[in-house]
Amino acid sequence: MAAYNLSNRVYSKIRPLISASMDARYMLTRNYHEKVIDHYENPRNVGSFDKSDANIGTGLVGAPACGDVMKLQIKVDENGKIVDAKFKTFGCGSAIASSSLATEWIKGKSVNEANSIKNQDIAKELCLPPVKLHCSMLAEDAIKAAIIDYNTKKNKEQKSN
Amino acid sequence: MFIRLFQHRLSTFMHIPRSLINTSSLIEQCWQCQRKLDRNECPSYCPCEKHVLLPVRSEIDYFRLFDLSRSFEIDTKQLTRMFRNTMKFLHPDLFTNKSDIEKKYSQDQSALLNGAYKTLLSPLARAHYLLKLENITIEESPVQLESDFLQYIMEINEQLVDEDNDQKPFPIELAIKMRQEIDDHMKELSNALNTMDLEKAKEILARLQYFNNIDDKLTNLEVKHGII
Repeated sequence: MAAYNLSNRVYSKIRPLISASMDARYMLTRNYHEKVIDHYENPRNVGSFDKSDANIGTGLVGAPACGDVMKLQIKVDENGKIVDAKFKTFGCGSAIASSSLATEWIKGKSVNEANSIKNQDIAKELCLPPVKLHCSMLAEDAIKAAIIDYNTKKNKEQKSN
Repeated sequence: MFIRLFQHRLSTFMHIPRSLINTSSLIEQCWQCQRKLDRNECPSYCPCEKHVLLPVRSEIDYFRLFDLSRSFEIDTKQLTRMFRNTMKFLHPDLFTNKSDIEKKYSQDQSALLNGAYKTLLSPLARAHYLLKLENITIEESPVQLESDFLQYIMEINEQLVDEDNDQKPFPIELAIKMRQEIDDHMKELSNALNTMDLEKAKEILARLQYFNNIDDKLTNLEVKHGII
């Protein structure tokens, strides 16, 4: 504890040096790409649809390693085109950015086109570091889960008709 | 493989702490006093009066560093006591005037001990580590939990966002309920790990991770409301 027995006068002299080195460390560890920060600060398409609606597909996925949860919903028209998408994510910045980007991308696409979106595409667009790749995987899983949910609803509807 | 299986069975049925049967001997000579040592008995330094530092051996698990048996239930007071006692002999400050090799051993050993202490002190990290010792990681083989559970977690998270405004009082009922969930899951986790039901342990650990995130948010709220 000898290191902490400095007088206040000495400490106030060296204080700026400490904070400078802290800032440097902060800059080094917090180098998210600006696209991630943009999506994190201004997430697109946040919200929910009524999940009992027949034209809505809901995908609910989680990442057990970090405890993130992601809900992604699609609204599909009679031609099989995704006309709107919404998401809600409770998790890290990368998970929020991945799902925000995913909703932007799938809007206007057909269900089949949306199904072919790969997590690598999302990770590449957001320049995610390797430790955050699982966030983009979560977004891909969410799209797929939403489409599966929509298809099951449609199949049930056809059977009952 | 079969020996490991046998050990599992043995420890399950006879309730022998696994570390007692799992100590394959790691005999080596102290690099200074040439004394023969079993590294499982002295993981960090030689028991001679000089306390010569020994190189890090990756075969020695974290529990051995603190002379604890490999189990989920540990005495954290003993852990902290052992951590401080051992650090007295390892800390790099003690080796500033020593040889380069001793400096290196001191850095390696104290870094290892710090990491091990952090891991074993937190119940979640300890459970992850116990599974890792059995070659199970949640990252590599994710558990897909049922959607009802995820829905439940989603709703609580949504509720917490609503609660996070200045007009609302702290959600005491929710906090009690969540802490109860964590306690119950911890008990289940402990049972599963004691009986070596590793798949079950992995699943409970996955659930606990979600509750843990909620608990962090509740703690932040408590700070905000001046409760803690």
